Amino acid sequence: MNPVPAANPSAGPLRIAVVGHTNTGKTSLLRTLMRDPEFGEVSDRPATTRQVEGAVLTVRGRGLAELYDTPGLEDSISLLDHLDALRGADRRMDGPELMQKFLHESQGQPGGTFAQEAKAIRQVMASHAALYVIDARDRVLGKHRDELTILAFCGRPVVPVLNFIASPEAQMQAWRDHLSRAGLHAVAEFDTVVIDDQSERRLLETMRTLLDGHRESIDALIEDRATHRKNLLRASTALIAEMLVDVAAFRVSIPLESDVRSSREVARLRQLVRHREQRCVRELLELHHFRPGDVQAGELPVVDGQWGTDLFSPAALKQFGVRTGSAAAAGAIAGLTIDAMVGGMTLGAATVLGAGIGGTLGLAQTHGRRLFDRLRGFSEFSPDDNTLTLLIARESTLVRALLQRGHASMKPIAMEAPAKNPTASFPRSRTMKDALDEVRLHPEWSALDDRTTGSGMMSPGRSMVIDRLIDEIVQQFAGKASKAHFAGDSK
Amino acid sequence: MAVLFGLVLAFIGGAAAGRALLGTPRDEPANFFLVLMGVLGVQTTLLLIWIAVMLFGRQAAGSMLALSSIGGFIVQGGQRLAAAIHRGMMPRAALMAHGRMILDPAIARGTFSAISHGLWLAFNCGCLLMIIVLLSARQYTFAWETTILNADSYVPLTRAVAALPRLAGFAAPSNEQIVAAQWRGSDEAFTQDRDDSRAWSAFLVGCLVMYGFAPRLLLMAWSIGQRRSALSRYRLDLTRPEFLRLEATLMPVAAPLGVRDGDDAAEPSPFRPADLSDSAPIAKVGTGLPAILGFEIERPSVWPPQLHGMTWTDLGIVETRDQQHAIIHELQNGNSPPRSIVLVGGLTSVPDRGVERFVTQVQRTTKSPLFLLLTGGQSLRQRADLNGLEQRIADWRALASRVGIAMERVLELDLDHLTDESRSRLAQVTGRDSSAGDSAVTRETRRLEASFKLVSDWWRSHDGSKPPDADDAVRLHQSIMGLHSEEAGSWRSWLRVPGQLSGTSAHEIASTLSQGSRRFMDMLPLTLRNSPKWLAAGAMAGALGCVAAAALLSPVAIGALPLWSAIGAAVSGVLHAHRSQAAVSSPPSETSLTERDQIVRSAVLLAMMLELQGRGEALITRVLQDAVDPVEAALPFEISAFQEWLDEQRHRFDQALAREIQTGGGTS
Repeated sequence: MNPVPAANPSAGPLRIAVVGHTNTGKTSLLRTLMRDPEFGEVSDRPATTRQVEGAVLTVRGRGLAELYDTPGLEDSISLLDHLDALRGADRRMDGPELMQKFLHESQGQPGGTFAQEAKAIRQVMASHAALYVIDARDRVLGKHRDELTILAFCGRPVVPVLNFIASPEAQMQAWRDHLSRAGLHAVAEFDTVVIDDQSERRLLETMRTLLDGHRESIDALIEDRATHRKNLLRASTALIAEMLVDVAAFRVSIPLESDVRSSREVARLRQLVRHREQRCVRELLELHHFRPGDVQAGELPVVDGQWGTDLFSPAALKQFGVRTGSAAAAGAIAGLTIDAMVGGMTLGAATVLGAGIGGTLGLAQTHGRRLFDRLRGFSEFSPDDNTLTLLIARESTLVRALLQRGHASMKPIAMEAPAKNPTASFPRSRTMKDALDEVRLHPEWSALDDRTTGSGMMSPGRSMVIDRLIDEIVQQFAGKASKAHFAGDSK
Repeated sequence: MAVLFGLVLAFIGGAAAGRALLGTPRDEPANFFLVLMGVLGVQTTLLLIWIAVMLFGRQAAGSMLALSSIGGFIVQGGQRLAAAIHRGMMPRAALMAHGRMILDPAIARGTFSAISHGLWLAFNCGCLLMIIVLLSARQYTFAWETTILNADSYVPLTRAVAALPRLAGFAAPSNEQIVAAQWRGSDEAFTQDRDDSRAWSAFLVGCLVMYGFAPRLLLMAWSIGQRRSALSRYRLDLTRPEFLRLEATLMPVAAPLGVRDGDDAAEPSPFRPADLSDSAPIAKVGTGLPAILGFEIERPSVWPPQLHGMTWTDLGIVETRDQQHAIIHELQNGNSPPRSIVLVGGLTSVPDRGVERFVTQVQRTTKSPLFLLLTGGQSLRQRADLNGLEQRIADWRALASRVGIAMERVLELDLDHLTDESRSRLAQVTGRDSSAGDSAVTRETRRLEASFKLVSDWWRSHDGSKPPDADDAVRLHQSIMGLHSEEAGSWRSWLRVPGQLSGTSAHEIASTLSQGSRRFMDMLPLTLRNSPKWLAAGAMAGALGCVAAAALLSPVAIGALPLWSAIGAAVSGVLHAHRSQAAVSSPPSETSLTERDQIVRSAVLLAMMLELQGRGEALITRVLQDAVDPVEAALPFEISAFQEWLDEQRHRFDQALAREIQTGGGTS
């Protein structure tokens, strides 16, 4: 049996009780804050959470704040009646004393009517503060007022958290009025389904205003979360950059006379590129702690960790607003560029020029073979700029969606097709193009195929190009801050 | 390994260079400055470049060196060799990790510089050794010569060059020895004192040591020192994705603490009405008006809900604690209990214990039968997906059964979107028969005007320039049916509409459609049956009605099905059957189904039939008999005349219906 806690717990790390009417999203809030989609149980039914379950938020291994999920308050009206009766004629009894009396009494009756409420209240009394979670779509009713009255009896600072603010039914103004009339002016807003980093930070900052004694812990949490987000973004772009290099550098050569359409090599090229993209998507999901089934539907279908639209179809290009200048957008050579040379006559001029200007000694050995092939009358196929742009576009959209997706959402994610918004279509920046052109000069950098020995993977040039790509993509993200704020410093 | 190999190579290379440069003494004297240049030239140039890179390159120095210095080449070569030899995943991973580490700017600088310097050091060693061996074993003479430079400047030049080696203790030729060593041409024999030669060779060795060997040695030591300190300062880049993944497992942002206050096995007992006084007066079953009580819902646009001629006792909408107390009090002490109480709850609210408690209180307080009406279905549909909606309704129903409200007394009706059907259910609930009461049953919403408007619009858009096709006809009938979609259930069963138009051949589809055709035909009055055109129109209405209904049920690609031929087949099949059964007075004439007139007739019949549905087939037949004039003439082409014709039909329809109602009552 839990002991009735002292009136003013001052020792130990920060303890917060998460309370509210049943089914307002308390467990979901915890899931989002913990980045753990498996904590507790979430459903649309009443009284899903029936126990007090705790979680600790850690920074570099140190637990800084303990959050406690509580069973929802279901019948505050009769509880208030009951408390009135309990107080009886004793007008001198203040809030916390009344609560102690109530908890004492409910301890004696394990299966009592107010057992759930008692658990929640006991946790509030044992914590430094309470987060009162409100479903902003609900109308303001009398029972909510009663809940706040009961919470006020506990004598702990209360931070109201308005949940589901992204829903069109949310009644923000009504709730804010109601809360300020109850004396609660520091109100946090959240949406456990569509999160942006600002709302988590603001929630923590609101808590900080009421919990001055734990200011350092909360500051550390805020900073750690911001750093995490930045690192997550950078790591995501690293995965994308690796994929880009693998794909851009890869090429197959087939004899000129052979039929392009039926060439198995070309089909194999496409298949390898598709697989590489899928692998990147899986890695991204894993990095963001999502399971493949979490991201589905919407206009950009990613089903079970794979993109629904084929990478090489014109539809995919259209979805992302990638304008295709060349007629090679469809058909057998879709998504590929050809560098064909017959007897030394026609050359991909840019390639050779670049090679000449490149100036590194290693050029001769990488190009020797290729030039030789060309002289013999082979043509080389490699993924073209449109494919690369599309890869960047798709994966960047996915990353943006993942960064905004709360872990509490039970519904499939809805990703917005950037083609709707023409200004958001991906510009092909000069730096990116230069970097990718350089990558094309080094087929040994591609790990796409097991045939290559992979010795080129360790070349310093490859690492340098990857770093450049990462910086470029991160900049693109920062430039296109639609809803989320990706600027690393939140200050 | 590669470095070692490189060192050996460099050593050998140095030796070879020394040998080559010194040449054979018997042919000619060794050209001193040429030898010096040969050994020192390239490496000094590269040394100067290295200094420039180190001074001005800063961060990029490491990567520049990695790519293009000799050290860089050796290391890359070594990596490639290692990658070729070691093929397992672990060695590969180790190689890649090592490779990434050396590319760290500080480490790269030290590493590659050290290797380069070391290689040149080996070269110098080899060269030196070879030169010393040669000088010991052969008798060399040293000379210098010049074509473009001033001979006199060589002395100060040589002294300047000798400055450094002399500091270190090496001998250097004196001025006279320098002058004496000048090569004057092959015509003169060149002789040199042994002392001179010795001095020159000492000078050579001294230069090599001081300008080649020593700097490289010092710089190598310095680079190694740099590398050491960089290594000790090296930290892993923990922002890489692989590390972040590890971090998620090893150092997660949050960890569960477990359950504190466990879930006791016992369910919390529902509200015990201990607080309810037992002395509530037992009310007789009321004969008053039905009462309606809202509970924590948003006030609907119309409250109390409208049913014709009905009045409710409005108990209001309860939202707060005080209101709850008040209403219970009122129910307890009210002297004329209502006939029934309809408690309206919202589907968007969660049916929790507090709700159950209140409903139980109401149930126990009043002796009137309690009905539970659940509104707000539309709002919930917008919020939740289908499973959530069903689950919520199930939860409410479970609550109702716990409280003791019978299943059939729980209704889901959205009070903001009332339809005729829902209204009649509500009326039923409150104990009103829909037939008793008002004699003039005016249907709340008549669709006939709207249907006829659709027909006239269609007529206007199809002005006969090209014959209408199957799609147009189907769409017209579909839109008429769409007006009646709320009564969908009843006319679908009435028409025997199949679940879907299965089958792909016209024949199969025709057989499913013919049922509907026949139903329609059977309801036509004799007057219409005797008119071939109207008969055909009736059959077509049935078939098209089926198609339209099926399309509404499951919007399948109607265009893909061979519908027109199917409809034609169904209709002619049915007509044929009819002709063979009944005695037809007028000779059967071919009626083209694709005429606009026919389509309009069929649509008019359909609209009328749908308007009348639910009233019984005999009445329908009678009304149609009076309403439709079986004139075979072509329908007026011009739109206003056409409109008049439609109005005429409607007028007759109204009259016929009114007559029927007066004589026979609402339904028959």
